[in-house]
Amino acid sequence: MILEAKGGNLDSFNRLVLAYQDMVYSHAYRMMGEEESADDATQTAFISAYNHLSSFRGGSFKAWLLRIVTNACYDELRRRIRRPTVPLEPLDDAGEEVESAHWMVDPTDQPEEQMQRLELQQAIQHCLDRLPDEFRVTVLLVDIQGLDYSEASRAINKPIGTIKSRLARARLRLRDCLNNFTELLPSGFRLR
Amino acid sequence: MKNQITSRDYERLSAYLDNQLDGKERSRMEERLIADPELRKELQDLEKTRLLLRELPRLRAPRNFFIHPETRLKPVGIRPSFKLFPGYGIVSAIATILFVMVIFADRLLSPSTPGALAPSEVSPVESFVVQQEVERSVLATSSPEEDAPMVMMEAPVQASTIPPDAVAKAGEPEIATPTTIFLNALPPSQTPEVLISILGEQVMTPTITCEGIMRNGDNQTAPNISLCGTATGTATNQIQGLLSTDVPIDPSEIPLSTTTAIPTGTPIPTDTPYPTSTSTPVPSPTPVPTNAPSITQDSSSGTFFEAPLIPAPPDQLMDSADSNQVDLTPEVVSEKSPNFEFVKYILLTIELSLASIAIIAGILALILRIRAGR
Repeated sequence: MILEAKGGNLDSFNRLVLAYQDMVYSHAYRMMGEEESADDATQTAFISAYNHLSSFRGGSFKAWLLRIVTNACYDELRRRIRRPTVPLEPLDDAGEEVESAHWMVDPTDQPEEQMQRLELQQAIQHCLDRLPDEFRVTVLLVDIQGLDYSEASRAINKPIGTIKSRLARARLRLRDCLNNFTELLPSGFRLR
Repeated sequence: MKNQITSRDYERLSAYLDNQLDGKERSRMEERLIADPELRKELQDLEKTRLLLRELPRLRAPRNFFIHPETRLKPVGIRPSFKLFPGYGIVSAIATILFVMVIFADRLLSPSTPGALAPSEVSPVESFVVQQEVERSVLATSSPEEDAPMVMMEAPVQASTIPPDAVAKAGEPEIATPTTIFLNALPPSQTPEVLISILGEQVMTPTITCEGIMRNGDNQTAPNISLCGTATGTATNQIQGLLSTDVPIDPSEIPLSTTTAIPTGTPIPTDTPYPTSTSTPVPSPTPVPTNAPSITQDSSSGTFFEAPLIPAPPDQLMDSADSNQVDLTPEVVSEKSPNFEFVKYILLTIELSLASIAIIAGILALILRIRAGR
């Protein structure tokens, strides 16, 4: 399928998109921390991947795609630093604020177990957002996307020693951060 | 005894957790883990943290990100590469550096700048002579006893890079009792001459430069030198000090004269005697050396002609080469001025050109950066 896409077959490439879009979007969301930016970064990454498909020389297509979406996220983060924006409340057709936006849904309306899981995910995302960008992308690539050190090294174009160091420091910071949410952690996951 | 866990230990622990240590390091770490319960606890915490991260669910994409045929060639989010970016930056930097260099060069070459070339080339004796002339001029204008009709200083005396030359013209010593002295101090940009015209009581004498006398006359030219001073005793003392001559000058024997500064930069011998002089001509009692008469009068024709050069005393000699240039005409001296002006115009043109280049390059770089959305 990759070879067909490299030959210019758009349908083959779109099948690749369908196979990897959740992974790419999830990575973008963990990096950006919001849906709109993650959507933009994902779309940009797939277009860039299609335009530069000829530069893929084998190996892990997933790692190659993660490298592209990581660069798209970096560009978006830099743009955000230069032009900070305040998210607007959604408006309906009448110009009124939408009260049922999905990020405003009260999790207490859901079953308790699901609510706890959602709160834990929000806590982890909160701790990820507080990490420096270079630490966050390293822990995302290795611990969430499951790349090994060499794949992560190629994905962000850094030596393996840097990956090792950043990963250890990112894990320590996350541990310290998650200690503030002990009540949300499952009993077997309680940190000291 | 409890071992302190370093950041290096945490790196090894993290790598051990991911099975990224080689055999030797792994076995060493396992030995430490067995011996150190604190290290084991740290390892468990790191493992729980990693597990929590891995438990994070993969998010579903809110939509399909298919590439459509009409959108595949759209350069969304791709930074346009404009290869002239570094070019404009380099041009701007070079133009700025050259601009600064030209400004400094202009400052150094400008004769009107205080920090220009002048200070290192001005002879102290020359500065002293110029100062003497200024003082004489001031005294001549401020003395109420004088009957000076007009004294005009055309420009303030400045230290000049070109030593002022002098042209000496004087009348016959016996009848050249000074009644009027023209003092003209000119700025360096003009003909740097100080001219003194000496008029007899009833006949006109040609113009003589005081400085020329000072630079070329020896201590035996006291009668002529005394004409450069004002009619006051103070001026006489100044001249005596200037010449450091052994010949005493009695102020009472020096005829009263008026000093007038004229604004012209060239010696103008005029046949019209200035009617301002009212003093009685008294022959100077100062001994006149054999080579003293520098201005003579043809008794037959009644006209005056230029006298031979008067050698300068050693202590008054500013530049031995200048003694041969004493009788240079003003036109010869001012030959350097056009070149100087030409260089200044060239520098000004370069300054304006470089400034324009720098501004244009900067504006273009700014526009291109804005268009690229950076």
